[in-house]
Amino acid sequence: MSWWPFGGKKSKDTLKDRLQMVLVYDRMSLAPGKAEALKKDVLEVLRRYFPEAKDLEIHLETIEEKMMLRADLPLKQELNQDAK
Amino acid sequence: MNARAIVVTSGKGGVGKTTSTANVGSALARLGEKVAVIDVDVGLRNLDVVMGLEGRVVYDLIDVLEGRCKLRQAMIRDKRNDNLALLAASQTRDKESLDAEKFRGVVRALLEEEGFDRVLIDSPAGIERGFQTAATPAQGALIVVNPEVSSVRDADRIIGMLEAREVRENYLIINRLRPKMVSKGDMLSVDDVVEILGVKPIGIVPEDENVLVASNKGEPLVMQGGTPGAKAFVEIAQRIRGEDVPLVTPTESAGFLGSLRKLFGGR
Repeated sequence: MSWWPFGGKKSKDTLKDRLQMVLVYDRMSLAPGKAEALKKDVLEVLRRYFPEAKDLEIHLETIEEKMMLRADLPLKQELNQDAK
Repeated sequence: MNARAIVVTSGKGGVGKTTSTANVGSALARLGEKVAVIDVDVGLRNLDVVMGLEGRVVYDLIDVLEGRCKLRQAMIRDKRNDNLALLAASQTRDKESLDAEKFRGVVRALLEEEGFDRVLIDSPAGIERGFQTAATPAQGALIVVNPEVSSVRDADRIIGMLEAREVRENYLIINRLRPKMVSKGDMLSVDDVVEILGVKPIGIVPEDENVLVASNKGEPLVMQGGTPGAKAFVEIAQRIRGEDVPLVTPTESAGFLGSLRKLFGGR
């Protein structure tokens, strides 16, 4: 709430987040529910192939003018093998 | 702005398109440009009443497009300002007769034959045919946006459609900004709106009761001058003409409590 003097989330910040989210979908003419379902499915497939992978993440981001659906898939490297 | 035909648009209704058209048009005319303002909101015309010229409408845009009168006959010259003329929308006729290509011809004739320096086109709300027609002859756009959720979303849509139509010289008029709410964090700031929409602002108009008073009287605000709103519209006209007028975000002095709040980490 805005009367509280010690910061906290302002209502305009909530609005800004919501707007940025909804505009990403608007600009792609993609139903937000569909995009969420897509994310869930892709995550599921990735987990099937990389059961050990942690920090799997999929998100939409805007880089300059381009919008992309990005999956972050950190793969563990067996560093010791070469050393042997 | 290089664009001589400029569409004033917003997507959402009620954000101040007509007020902006009337005031920017009047301000440009007072700065010496010969300006035609055209109302394209067929069936719901309002630019005539906002400008106080309703009593002088004889012919309208549809009459011109259908050849019932000459273009010159339909242009209503503002007696308070010789450089300014209005082409009214039709209040009664069917908007199906508003042909985009014919409309382009009218705008071209105003600029090339009738000696106007600038044409401002007041677009109807929405993204349908009326807007499409209004945007057809435009080389640039003033997108009127209020710092609130539905207006920003609709503006984004309109910007996408303008770009798709190759209307490229586009600027935001951020209208009805309430500095007090911005400083409390309860309204999007100018920077927020610009960041979200990715289009530069050409003016920031603070909420100003005098806008309504001026519309009541049928005298665009800039004809009276003096108020914060009037000043903002005059500056928009100056920037359209390429004058270098710094863009200052209106602020309200925070007062004692505000300073105290700032001291304790609030914004």
